[in-house]
Amino acid sequence: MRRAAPLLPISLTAFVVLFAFGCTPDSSPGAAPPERAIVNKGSDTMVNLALAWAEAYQQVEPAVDVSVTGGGSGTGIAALINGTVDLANASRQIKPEEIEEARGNGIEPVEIVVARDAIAVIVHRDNPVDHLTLEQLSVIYSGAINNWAEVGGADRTIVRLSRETNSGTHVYFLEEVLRLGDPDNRTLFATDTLLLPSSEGIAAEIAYNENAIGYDGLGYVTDDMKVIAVGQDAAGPFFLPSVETVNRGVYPIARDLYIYSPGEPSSQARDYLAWILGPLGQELVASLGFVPLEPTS
Amino acid sequence: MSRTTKVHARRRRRQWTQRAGFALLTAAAIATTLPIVLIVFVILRRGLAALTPEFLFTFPTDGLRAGGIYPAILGTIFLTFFMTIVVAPLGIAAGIYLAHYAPDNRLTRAIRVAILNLAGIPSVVYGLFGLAFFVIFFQMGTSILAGALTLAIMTLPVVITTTEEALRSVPNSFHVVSVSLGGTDWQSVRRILLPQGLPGILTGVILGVERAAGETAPILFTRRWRFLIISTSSRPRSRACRPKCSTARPPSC
Amino acid sequence: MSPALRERLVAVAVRVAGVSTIAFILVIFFFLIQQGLPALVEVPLSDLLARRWYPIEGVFGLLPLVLGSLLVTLGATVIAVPLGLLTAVYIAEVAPRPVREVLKPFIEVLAGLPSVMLGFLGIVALAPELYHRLNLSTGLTAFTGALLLGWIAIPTIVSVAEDALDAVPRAYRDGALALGANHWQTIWRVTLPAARGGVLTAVMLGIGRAFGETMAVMMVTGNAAVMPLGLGSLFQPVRTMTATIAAEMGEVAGGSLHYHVLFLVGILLFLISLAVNLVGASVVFRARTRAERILS
Repeated sequence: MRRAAPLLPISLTAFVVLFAFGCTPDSSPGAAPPERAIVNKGSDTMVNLALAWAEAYQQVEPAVDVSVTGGGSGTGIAALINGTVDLANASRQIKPEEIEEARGNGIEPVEIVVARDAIAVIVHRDNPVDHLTLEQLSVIYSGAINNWAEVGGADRTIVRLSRETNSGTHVYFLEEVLRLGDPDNRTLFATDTLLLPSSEGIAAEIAYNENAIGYDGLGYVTDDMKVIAVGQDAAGPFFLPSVETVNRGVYPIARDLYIYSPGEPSSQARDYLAWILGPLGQELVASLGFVPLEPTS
Repeated sequence: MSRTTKVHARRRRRQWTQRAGFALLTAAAIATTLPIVLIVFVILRRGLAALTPEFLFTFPTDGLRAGGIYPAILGTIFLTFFMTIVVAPLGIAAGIYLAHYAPDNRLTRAIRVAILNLAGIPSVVYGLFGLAFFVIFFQMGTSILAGALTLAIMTLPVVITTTEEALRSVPNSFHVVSVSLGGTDWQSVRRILLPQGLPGILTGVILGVERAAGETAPILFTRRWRFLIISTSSRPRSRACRPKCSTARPPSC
Repeated sequence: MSPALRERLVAVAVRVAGVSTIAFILVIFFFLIQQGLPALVEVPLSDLLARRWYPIEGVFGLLPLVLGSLLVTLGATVIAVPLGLLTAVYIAEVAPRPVREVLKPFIEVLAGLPSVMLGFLGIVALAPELYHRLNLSTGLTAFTGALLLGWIAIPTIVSVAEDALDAVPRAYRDGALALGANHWQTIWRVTLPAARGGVLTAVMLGIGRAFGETMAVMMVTGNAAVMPLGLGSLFQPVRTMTATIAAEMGEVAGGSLHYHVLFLVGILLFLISLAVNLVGASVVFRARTRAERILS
C-alpha cells in the first residue's frame, strides 16, 4: 500500500489540472444559461447548419454565445414546450397537439421559415434508372414493387434504405412520398426497409450496393452517388433537386426548415434570426447544401 | 491380425487423431487472432495520418466534419475518471468481503448470483436504468455524473470478481501467520493481503475502465451522444465544461 | 479509534459493499418495471405480440424484435462457442510457452476493442465483402451481425475458459498420462470435463455478451423489423431489441407510450439475460458437484 500512496495525489493533481484546462464549472445541471447566450436545440437535419450559423455569428457578435445541440426535431420542440430553449430547430412543422401543449404551459410558439431542404432520392452510381415519379417511389417504398426491372432498371432486387423512424426526414418522406400527401392514406414502409442510424450509414450502403435506393437531405448527397430526377407524373417533366428547382417550386419533394421561438423572440434572438435570414446566413445555407430562401424585400 | 498389430494400429490412429486435433486447435487460434492483426493494421494504416496534435486538441468545426475531437476526449476522460473513483472503492470492498469476510451462507450465494446477473445485463438496459434512475429520479439531468454512475454500476462485477480472484490467490498461510503474530483481521487484510493482491486488483480495475471507456449504449441516453455543446468561441475555456460529448463517434455511425 | 471499533466498522463496510450488488439488481429491476409497466397496461397484449413494429404510428409488435435478437444471438453462439473453446484449449494445453505469452494479451486486446469501432469496420469492410462474395442483396444482414457479434464474444469465452482449464490440478493430467493416455485424450476426457463448470460459465458469459451487444449490431444488421422465419432470413436484414432501444430512445418524448414500450423491451432483455444466467448457474452448480463427486 505504501508504494501505491503517491498514485493518489498524482492522479488528483492531474485531474485538477485537466479540469482547469477544460472548464468554468456550471453551477447546477438545470441552471439557466447566462443572459448573453442563446440556447438552440433540435433537428439533426439542421444541426450542421445551426452550428455553421453559430460559428459565423460568433465573428459578428462575439459577446453572444450560441450553444447548439441536436437530438432531433422532436427534442427541440419538446424543449420549446418546456420552455428550456430560446430557439428550437425543426425540419418539420409543429403539430397541432404540440401547439396545444405549449399553450398549456403559457408558451405561444412563433414559426419562422429559415431555409428549405430538398430530399434527394439516391441510388448507386451504376444504376441505369434516371427518373421516377412520386407514385413509383411510393410503390417502391411500400413494398408493392420489388424489382428494378419494373421501373425500367436492371433485373435486380430493390433494397430500400431509410433513416430511422425518429428522424424528421423519415416522417416527411412517409407523409409526402409514401402517402402522397394524403393524410388519410395509411401506407407504411415495407417491413424489409433498412433503417440506418445515420446519413453516413446510408451513404456507405449506396456506395457499394447496386440494388439500393435511399433518400436523404440534399446536403448529404456525395459525389459517389447518383441522384434520381423526380416528377409528378409519368409523362411530365422530371427534376433533379437543386436550389433552383426548389425555389421555383417544381421539385416535388422539398420542405421548409423552421426555427420556433417560445413567444416573441428576445432582442438577442431577434438579431440572430435577422442575421440568419440575411445574406450572410443564407449564404451558409447554400454552402451546406440546403436551399436558401429567395431574397425578400 | 495379431494382438500387437492391433495395438499398434490403434496407437497410430490415436497419434493421427492427436495431430489432426492439434492442427484444428491451432487453426482455431489463428482464426481468432488473425482478424485482430488485420484490424489493427487497417486502422493504423488508414487512420494514423489523421492523428495530429490539431486533431486531438481542437474543437470540431464545419458541423462535426472537420477539426478535432477535443471535447470527446475530455468527455471520455472525465467520464472514466468519475466512474473509477466510484467503482474502485465499492468494487474492491465487495471483493474483499467475498474473499475474506463472507460466510458460506445463502446471502453470500445471493450476492454471487447478483454479481453474475449484473454482468449479464445488456449495456443498453443499463442506459435505460441510468435514464430512469439518475437522470429522472435523482434529477441529475443528462450529465457526466449520471453517465459515470451508470457505468460504475455496470463495471462493478468485473472489479469485484477480479479483486476476489486476486485476493484468493494469495496463500492462506500469509493471513494465518499475520494473525498469529498478533495482527487483527483488518490489519492483515490491509497490510498483507491487499498489497499482495494489488497487481490482480489493478488489472481488474483497468480492465473495467477500459471496457467502460469503449462503451456507448449505457451513456446514449444519460448523455445524448449526438448532443455536443460546443463553444462557438475559439477559446477552449468557455463552455467545454458541460461537455456532454461522449465516447461515441460523431454522427458518422 | 479503538482497534476493536475499527474492526467492526470495516466488517460492516465491506458487508454493505457486498450486499450493495443485490440492492443494485433490485433497484435496476424496480426502475425498469416502473417505467415499463405502463406499456403493459396501455397496450393490449395481442398488439404486443403482433408481427409489425412501427412505433411512430403506435404499432408495437415485439415479435420481429425478439426473433431478430434470437436469430443473431444464435448465429453468434454457433460461431463463438466452437472457436472460443478451441482457442482456449489451444492456449491452455497446446501452445508452447512463448506463443502463449503473446497470445493471451492479444486476446485481451480484442476484448478491449470498442464495439462502435468494430461496427464501423463492419459497415465499411465486412458488409461490402459479404455482399460481393455471397451475392446477397445487401451486406447488412443477420449473418453479418452474427459474424461480428460472434467474434466480439470470443475473447470473453477464451479468457474465462482458459482460466478454468488452467485451474485444473496438474495431478489430473499427470494421472491420465501415467495411465497411458496421450495428450489429446487427456484434454478431452480428463481436463475438459474437470473444468466443465468454468467452461460452461464461459459459454454463458459469451452468449450473454452477444445477446446484449448494441452498437455493433445496430450498425451492421440493417435494422429492418422483419419476421425472421426460415433459414433464408439469416441472409436478410433483421432488427434486434437492443438496436431498437438504442436507435429510438434518443428522440422519444419522455412519458409517452413509445417511451414506456421501449422500457418494456428493456425489461424483456433483462428477464431473458436473467433466465439464461440462472439456468447457466444451476447447470454449472450441478456439473461442478457431480464432477467433484466423481473425481474426489
